[in-house]
Amino acid sequence: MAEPVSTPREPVPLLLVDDSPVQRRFLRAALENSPEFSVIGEARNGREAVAMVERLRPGAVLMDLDLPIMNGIEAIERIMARCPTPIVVYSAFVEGENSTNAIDALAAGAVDVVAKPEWGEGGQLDAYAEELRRRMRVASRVRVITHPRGRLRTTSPGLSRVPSHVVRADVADAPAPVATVLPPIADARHPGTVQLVAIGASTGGPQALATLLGCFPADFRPAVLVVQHMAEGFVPGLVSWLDQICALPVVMGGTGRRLSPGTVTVAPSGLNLLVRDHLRVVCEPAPERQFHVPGIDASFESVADAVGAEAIGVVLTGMGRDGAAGLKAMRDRGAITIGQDEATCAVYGMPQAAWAVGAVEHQLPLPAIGPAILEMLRAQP
Amino acid sequence: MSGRALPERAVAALRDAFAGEVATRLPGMQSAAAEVLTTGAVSAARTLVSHAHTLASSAAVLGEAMASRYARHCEELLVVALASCGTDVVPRDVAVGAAEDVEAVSMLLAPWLVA
Repeated sequence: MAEPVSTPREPVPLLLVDDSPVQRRFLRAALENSPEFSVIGEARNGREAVAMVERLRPGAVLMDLDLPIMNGIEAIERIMARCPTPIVVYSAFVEGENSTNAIDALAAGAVDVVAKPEWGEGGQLDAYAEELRRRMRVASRVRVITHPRGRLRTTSPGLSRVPSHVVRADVADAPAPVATVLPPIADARHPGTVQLVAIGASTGGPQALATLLGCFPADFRPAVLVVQHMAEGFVPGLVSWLDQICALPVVMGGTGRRLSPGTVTVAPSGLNLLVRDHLRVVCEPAPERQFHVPGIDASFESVADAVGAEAIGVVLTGMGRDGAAGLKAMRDRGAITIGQDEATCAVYGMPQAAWAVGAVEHQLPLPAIGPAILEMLRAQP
Repeated sequence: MSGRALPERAVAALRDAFAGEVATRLPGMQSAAAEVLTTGAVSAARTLVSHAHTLASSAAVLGEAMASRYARHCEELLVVALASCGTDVVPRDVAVGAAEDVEAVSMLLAPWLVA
């Protein structure tokens, strides 16, 4: 069946990185089967990839992790340090117990991770190729920043100064934030105890979460809930990775558990995590029409109902608009709400959507969000 | 999920590339497996892991599901063993298991060598 072929844009130039000629041929065939993409180079190892990115300046890179001479993680770090480019990792070892590989790749600066086709998928290669194109289409639109891991090392725990935040000038029709500089946040109109900090993130989220959660000290009092859009099987790796780098314990949420003070609970994949009275957790299947699961809106709306004004809601980097309605519900119930600013977002999608519906009370650069939250908590009676 | 069919020419090129990869990797896999079996050499085990890793992924793309499964099992078996044995020799039972996997991969992919 013929598909519409008119693409007003120039094809996205892609670089493929895999040591297997079979994989490179497959990827080229899969991607060039659409006029949206043009493969401009193939690298066989990490070192070649770094050099070719600098020379060819592709619009996006599709890269295996298990590479000779220089492995994929090191290549990602070097590319993101020298010539930031959206990188999608394509690897056999990114699911289940190997999901830490995926998290390592995301932490190094990759924007997405795709598992290589497994046995049994051979007969469905066309469908797999279609999914690959979809992921590359999204990735190629991501605006990447220089070496998030390097930034993370220098900004997480040692932040002492809070930079002034940026307010977008091109959304004049959006409701104005209550505060335009940080000091008023300390004079918060929320005298009540903050029980819960709820955070939603998507593309670029793992690095942003590491930066934000890295600011919270071991004696941080509120419970923390994280809802990160992530494919099935990757969340355990995220939990394990965050647990290693945060002062607070990080656990996976599940029905019957509570969100504990001073503990980061991450929503499991494949279910919506809902917060009930006394911070009890219920995980339930998402409605069929819900695109992202776990859903940030679903969690935030439940937080609005259960905790009301005694919460802080944060929407971090991500594509789409999940979280906007939920953050608005939280703000309407009196919670403090924060959106990550455009300059520090990998993708200014979700925070922009939240801003546009008037859900964002404070728009802040990523490095300022953690210190701002600590300042708000210090201002509590 | 439906997808646009890959062009026949691309699929033919993919099959050629796989035949070439089998011709290169399979003998390497067999000789590495033999060395691991006789000496337990860690360096040979690493070579075997590399070949098995590549063939497992490529075989999956070409629809050789069983070969992919055996190659992946061989790889996982050795990766776990290498992580625990360090620079010592590969345990005998692991070497035997890996060699059995290589034998299965060889049988399943043999038709590609004469294609």
